[in-house]
Amino acid sequence: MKNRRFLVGLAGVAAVVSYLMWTGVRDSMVYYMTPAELVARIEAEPAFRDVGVKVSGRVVEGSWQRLPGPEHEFRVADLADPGVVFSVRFDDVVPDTFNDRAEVVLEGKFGPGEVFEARTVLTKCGSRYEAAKEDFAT
Amino acid sequence: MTTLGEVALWIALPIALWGTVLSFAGGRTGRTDLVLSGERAAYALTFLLALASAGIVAAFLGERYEFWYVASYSNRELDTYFKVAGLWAGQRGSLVFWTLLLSGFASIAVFRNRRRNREFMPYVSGTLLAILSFLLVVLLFAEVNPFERLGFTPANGRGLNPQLQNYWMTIHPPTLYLGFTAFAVPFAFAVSALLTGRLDSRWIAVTRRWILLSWFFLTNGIIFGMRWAYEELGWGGYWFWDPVENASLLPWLTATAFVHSIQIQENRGMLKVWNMCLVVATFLLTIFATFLTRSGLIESVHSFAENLKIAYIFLGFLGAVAGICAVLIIYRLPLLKGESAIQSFVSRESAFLFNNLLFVGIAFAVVWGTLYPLITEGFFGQKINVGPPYYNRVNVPAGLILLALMGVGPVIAWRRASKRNLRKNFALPVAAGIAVAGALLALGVRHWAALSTFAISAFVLTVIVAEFWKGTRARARISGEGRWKSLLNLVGRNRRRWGGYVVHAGVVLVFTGLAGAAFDVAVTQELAPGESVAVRSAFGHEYSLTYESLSHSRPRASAANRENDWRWTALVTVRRGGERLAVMRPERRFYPVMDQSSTEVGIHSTAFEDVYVIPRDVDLESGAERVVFEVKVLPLVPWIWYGGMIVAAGALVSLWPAGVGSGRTAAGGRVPGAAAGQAA
Amino acid sequence: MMAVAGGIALAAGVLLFVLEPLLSGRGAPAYGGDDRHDEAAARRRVALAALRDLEYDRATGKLDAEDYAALESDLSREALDALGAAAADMPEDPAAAALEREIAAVRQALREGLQCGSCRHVNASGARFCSRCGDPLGAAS
Repeated sequence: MKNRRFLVGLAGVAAVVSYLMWTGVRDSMVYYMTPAELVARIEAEPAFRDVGVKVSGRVVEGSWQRLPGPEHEFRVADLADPGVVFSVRFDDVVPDTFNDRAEVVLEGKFGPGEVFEARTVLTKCGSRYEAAKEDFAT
Repeated sequence: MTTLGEVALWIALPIALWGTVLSFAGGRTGRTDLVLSGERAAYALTFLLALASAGIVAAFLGERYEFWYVASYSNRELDTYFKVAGLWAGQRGSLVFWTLLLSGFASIAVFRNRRRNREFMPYVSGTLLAILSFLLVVLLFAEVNPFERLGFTPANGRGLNPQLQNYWMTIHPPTLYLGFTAFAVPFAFAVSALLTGRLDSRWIAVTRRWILLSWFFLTNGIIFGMRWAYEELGWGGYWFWDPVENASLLPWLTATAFVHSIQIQENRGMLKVWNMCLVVATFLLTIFATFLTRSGLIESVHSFAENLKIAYIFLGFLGAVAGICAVLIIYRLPLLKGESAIQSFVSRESAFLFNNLLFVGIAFAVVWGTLYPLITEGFFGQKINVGPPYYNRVNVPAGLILLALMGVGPVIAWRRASKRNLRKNFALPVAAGIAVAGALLALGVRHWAALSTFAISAFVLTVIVAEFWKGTRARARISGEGRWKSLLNLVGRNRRRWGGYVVHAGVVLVFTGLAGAAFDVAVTQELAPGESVAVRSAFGHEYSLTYESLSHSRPRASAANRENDWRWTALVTVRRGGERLAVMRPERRFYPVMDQSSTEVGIHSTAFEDVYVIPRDVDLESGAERVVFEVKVLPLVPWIWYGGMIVAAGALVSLWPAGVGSGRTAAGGRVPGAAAGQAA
Repeated sequence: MMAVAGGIALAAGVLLFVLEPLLSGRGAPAYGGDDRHDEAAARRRVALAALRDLEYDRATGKLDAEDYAALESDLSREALDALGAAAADMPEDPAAAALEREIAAVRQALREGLQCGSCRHVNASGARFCSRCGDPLGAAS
């Protein structure tokens, strides 16, 4: 009898937690893609342009331009396939670790035209990654 | 020194394996010489790993850049302090450090139990040595040997990531590792209890202080990490729901559940299977945390590296441990039957049970969120992330219920509580909660989560204060002692209970501090020297910040120059209502060796809020010395740190060894069987 | 050369330290207790601690007199059972003894307490008003 009440309690907690998890996932999920995946997906499904995504890639060396105000433009390439490149605009201050060969994670979506409007820019802590042996040779 | 350290690491593995085999064999056959040899192996390992760690530190101090690890995490210009901390700055070194701490705890456990709890010890040392063997295998064969050479000697190292050059970052990882590794001891005792079939409450009584010690370090480690993020990451927050942060939170959640549920087992002989599952789960999560930070499998801002080999090894180990423990628990199910049942729905044990469900529920939600990218990638071929809103959705309500339970638990009795007594005991605290809620509503606070937090906090604090007051009064009446003496004796007699209440009070403070984030204020403005920006805080204080000047220290470039960084320091005066409060020196730094810049924020703390100044951008080209400042006023953030200190103090009260005469049972330090064993 | 010698010396030293018990036949202390004793002692300690908590809950007004009486007799029986299960020659457990003294003191104080004339509630000694109904103590009855 008493155990039943506890089972009910257990089921209740489990149900509430799962419900909150489900709605939480639904409301905050973000696709996490590589530039190549994103470009391919948009080609197959143009409506996907308006879906907010996270994209990880590498800033193309020499492409970083600082416009007046805290505004930045740069190009990002796919890590595995450097041929896939798109332009990014970002209207805020970039993180300290940002430079023009940083590995970045962008959150945002494509605006009109072929420019990706980033809402946030995160850099992957480059120096936490161990330098390859060859990097020391120079 | 460094070579000796390298050799020591290679000697350590066979010693660990030898000790594992002999300990288990000795336990099985009862041959005490084998057991002693196994225990000697634990001591020897501590010595060898200390040598290996010393070797790494020596290489850092000696600027031996022929070592890959040293060259990757330091340079000649780095402060000595950070060179020593280089031991745990990167993946390779921190694995050695982790192993050193584990072997140290193993040695302490073996030494403290050299004459007592002998029925458990062979298997305890065997289990600990098995874990150590695994870590040594990883170190030596998973391409993470810290003594690996580059094959040539670069002129200088690459330096330490600027964000890690912070005081909190030097003590945060060791504290966390201490918490992770200390938990291996209760786990080893649990395995030993399962293996020997001694499944009464003895193993819990023996390891209770270890559990609390581990909890103490985990809690501090997490708070230090928040402190680091707050001071160094420069965005005014302290928690990001980043996979690595989650990884450190997970074992804390299950360990906290465990700290509570063992009390039900001790008091009522129930939940034995559940406790076994919790201790195993917590241990697995400590390993999982190590693995997660070391594998980079999930996208995280501070994952160490994408080393898939190490990921497979860790996953294999996790799977093996989980499998073995599951088999053991199922095999021992007949001995793990509860001795009694819950007598009433309204009782402290049912409150504890509910608390456990919530902690495990939160842990599950956090695991799910952390692994969601992997799960979706596995099933749908597409990584999908979930962000902070997901975690808040689940954890804010659950956290609020847990907060409220902290007020309910102490007031309702074990076994059964009558409604009339509940009414009597809850009247005042509930009134306090309602009063706070009403006052805040009247002041115009409409943020429901923050409002609930403050109201429930008032309720819980009232309960705790009343509890101390009633206990002291009851004791004073019985013993005839004065108020203060009664209070001291009251706490001394049952340190766990009263220390626990102190911890709860600290947690309440932390919660209110977290809720303060609902009232953050931020302003971003570009200023020229002499200009000011005004901010009005949630408490209604008018702050005015004046950017006075910019100074620049740019050391001359020369061979003898040992400067690590170049600095642009802004001088900012903070005034409140015209009164000058402080002068802040937020900085932008540039690390030439790493080609990286960093921000040092300016923080001015008052009792109720922090003024947090971030120099976002310094205009160096025009010579006008204009700086973009982001100014935040963050209410109640200092309370998180005060609360953390109170939590630590309470945990220390709970785990401090009871003095002679006050009765060791009060803190439960020892098992009477040991005395029997000695006498026999 | 130095390094090789150092490494060999280190290995030899550690090996000697670890293998010494096997060579000399010296052993770690074995478990000399009796599991039945120890288990019973653990149970007794648990029962005593529960009793102490019970007395505490009673003294601070979290338990009714009736609930207290019922639970107290249960727990005392458990403690006695556990005591009986342990053999009579079991050495005195100082920790359990201290607990027992403490409980005895609390119980003594409760027993000396005053029963309320109007509701029969037993109050702690020295109380002037009933903690249940609020009537003044000593005046009635």
